[in-house]
Amino acid sequence: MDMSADGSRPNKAVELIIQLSVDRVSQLLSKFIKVGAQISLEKAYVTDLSEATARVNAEDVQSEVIGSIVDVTGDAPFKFLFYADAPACLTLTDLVLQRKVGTSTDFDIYVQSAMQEIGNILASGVCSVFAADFNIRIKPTPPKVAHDFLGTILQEFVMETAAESDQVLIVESRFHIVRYNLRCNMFILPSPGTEGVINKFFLDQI
Amino acid sequence: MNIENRVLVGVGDIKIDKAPAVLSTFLGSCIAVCLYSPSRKVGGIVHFLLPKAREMQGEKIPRKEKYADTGIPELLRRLKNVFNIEKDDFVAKMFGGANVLKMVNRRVGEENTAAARAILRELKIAVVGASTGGERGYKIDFDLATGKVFCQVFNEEVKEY
Repeated sequence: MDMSADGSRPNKAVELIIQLSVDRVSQLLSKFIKVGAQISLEKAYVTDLSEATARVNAEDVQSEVIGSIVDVTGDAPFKFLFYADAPACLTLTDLVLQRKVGTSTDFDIYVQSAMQEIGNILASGVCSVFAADFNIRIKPTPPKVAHDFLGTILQEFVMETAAESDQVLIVESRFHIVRYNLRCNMFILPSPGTEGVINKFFLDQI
Repeated sequence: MNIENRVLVGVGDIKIDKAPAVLSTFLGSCIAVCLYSPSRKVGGIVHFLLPKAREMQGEKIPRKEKYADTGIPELLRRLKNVFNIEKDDFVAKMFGGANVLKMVNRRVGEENTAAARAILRELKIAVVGASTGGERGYKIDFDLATGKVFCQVFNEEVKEY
């Protein structure tokens, strides 16, 4: 795990809550698709917004993805994004629907729904870490799903936070699904001030 | 167009350059305003997020690039300062302003499009090409050797502006 890939490190409390969230989300996804899934935390860093979006796009130019964006409101608001590239979305849909992998071939309503549901479950998993382990009251809103360029979805994801702050804390995770070479990613983007709230709740716990 | 010369423009950013650079960006509800001087083959992009700075920030404007009303004049200022070109030499093209997440309460894309048009009109810079609106994202490549913008709406063919 690299906590400071391209920018400064988040604080210890945030690092801990991120790691716990990733572990919880791995378990939830494995149960949901009934296949072993491991989510590894790749990077967590505070960085300049423009550089962050340009860099992700440079790595993944023109990629077609389906993304599920969840706004989490409450004491420590954040935005959650789960996205997968086109082939991974089709495989995930078959796994979710418990049918033979390869059945899904088009980006139909089933694919959109499966991605929405995965986004919902994963965001709820992160919320449960905040609520159960840290007593932070937060609530996910229904996911918004979009099928588009990765660059476009990332832009929509960071937009509200970017309006309020030039620096963003980005948490990038990569998914490894047993038997399938799937490429999925999860981003957590705390709203300005959320880091401080997490720190306060963390200190209250110890 | 040589992709090796590509310069990626992030969200809330300005990039200026000269031929043979190609300035590229992805857009949703944001707008990219491209200014180009055909005689000097230089140009730039501002990729802004919101129409007005003061709505969000009060009197403090930490980053002009994020807003139409501060970002477009800032792009023009940088181009004039770096390349010593007068405003009348520039033409504009604009792209983006989509409603990708199909929001119903606030259509930021439409607001951004209207703001960009109003500011360019105020600056008396002609808009010679545009593709805005819809519900799908945009990818643009702005070729400074020709001034052409290659614009692809998601799942559609690339069009030249």
